[in-house]
Amino acid sequence: MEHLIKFLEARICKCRERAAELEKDFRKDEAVFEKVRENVFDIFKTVLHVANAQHGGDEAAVRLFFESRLNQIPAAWAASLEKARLHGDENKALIEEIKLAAVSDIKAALEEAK
Amino acid sequence: MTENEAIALLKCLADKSRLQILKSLAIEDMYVERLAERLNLTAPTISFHLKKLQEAGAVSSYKNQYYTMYSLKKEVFEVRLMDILQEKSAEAEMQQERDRQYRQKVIDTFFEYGKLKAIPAQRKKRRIVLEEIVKDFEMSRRYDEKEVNLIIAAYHDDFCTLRREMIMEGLMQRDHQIYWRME
Repeated sequence: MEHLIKFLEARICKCRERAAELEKDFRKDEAVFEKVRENVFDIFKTVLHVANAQHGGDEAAVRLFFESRLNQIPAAWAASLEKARLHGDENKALIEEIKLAAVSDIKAALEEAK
Repeated sequence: MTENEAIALLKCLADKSRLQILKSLAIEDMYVERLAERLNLTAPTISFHLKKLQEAGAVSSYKNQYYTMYSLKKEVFEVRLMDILQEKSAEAEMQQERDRQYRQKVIDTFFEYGKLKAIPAQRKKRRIVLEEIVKDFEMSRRYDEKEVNLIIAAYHDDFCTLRREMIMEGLMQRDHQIYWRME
C-alpha cells in the first residue's frame, strides 16, 4: 500500500499547488474545486493511516478495510449528487461530481497497486 | 440597475474564467461545449460559471435545435460605472434621513422659542444654526449692515460674530457694507 500513500500524497500536493495557482490567477471558484478534490484525497489518506494502524503488517486486511471505506464513504456523495440533480442544484451537483471523480482516481490507483 | 444587482454583477465578474467566457460571448453566441473547447475548461465548469453569470444578469440563454446557446446581455455592459455610483439607494435615503434627524436635534438644542440660546462651538453645529438664521434673508435682496444686524439680533445679541460667520461659511456675501444671501 506504499504506492497508494505516495499516490495520495502526490495528488494532495498537486491539488494544493493548482489551487494556489488558480487563486493567483483570479479563478477563485475553480480554486475551491481543487480544494474539494484535495480534501477527498486527504480523507482517504487518513483512512489509509487508520487501516495501517489497525491492521499494520497485514496487507490484505489493510486493503480490505480501505476498500470497504472507499465504497462506503462516497455512497453519501452519490446520493447527494442524485438529490442535487433532482432539484436542479447544479453547483452542488458539480461539487459532488468532483468528489466522486477523485474517488474514481483512487480506485484506479488501487487497482494498479494490485 | 439597483445597488444589490450591481454588487452581484461586479462580484461575479471578478473571476478570470467568467471574464473569458464573457469575452467569447462578446464575439458570438456559444454553447457549453464550444466554450469548454475554446477556454480549455471542462463542460461542467463552464456550466457552473454560466449559471453564475445568468444569476448575475450578465448572460441569457435560448434553445437552438439541440443546443442551449448563451448570449451576452449587452445592455448590462453598456451601463457606465458612474451610473451605478449615482444610482439612488436605500442606504442613501437612510443617510439623508439620519442627516435630517441630526439637523433637527441641533436646532432643537440651540434654539428656544425662536431665539438662539448659544453659539455652538463645534463648526458642524454652528453651520446648521447659521443656515437656519440665513433663511430670514430673501434670496435676491440686498441688505445694508444695519438691516443685517437687526435680523440677526432677533436671534442672538452677538450679531457681529454671527454676521462674520455667515460670510466665512459662504452663506452670505458682502461688498462695501452691502450684504446678500448666497444660493
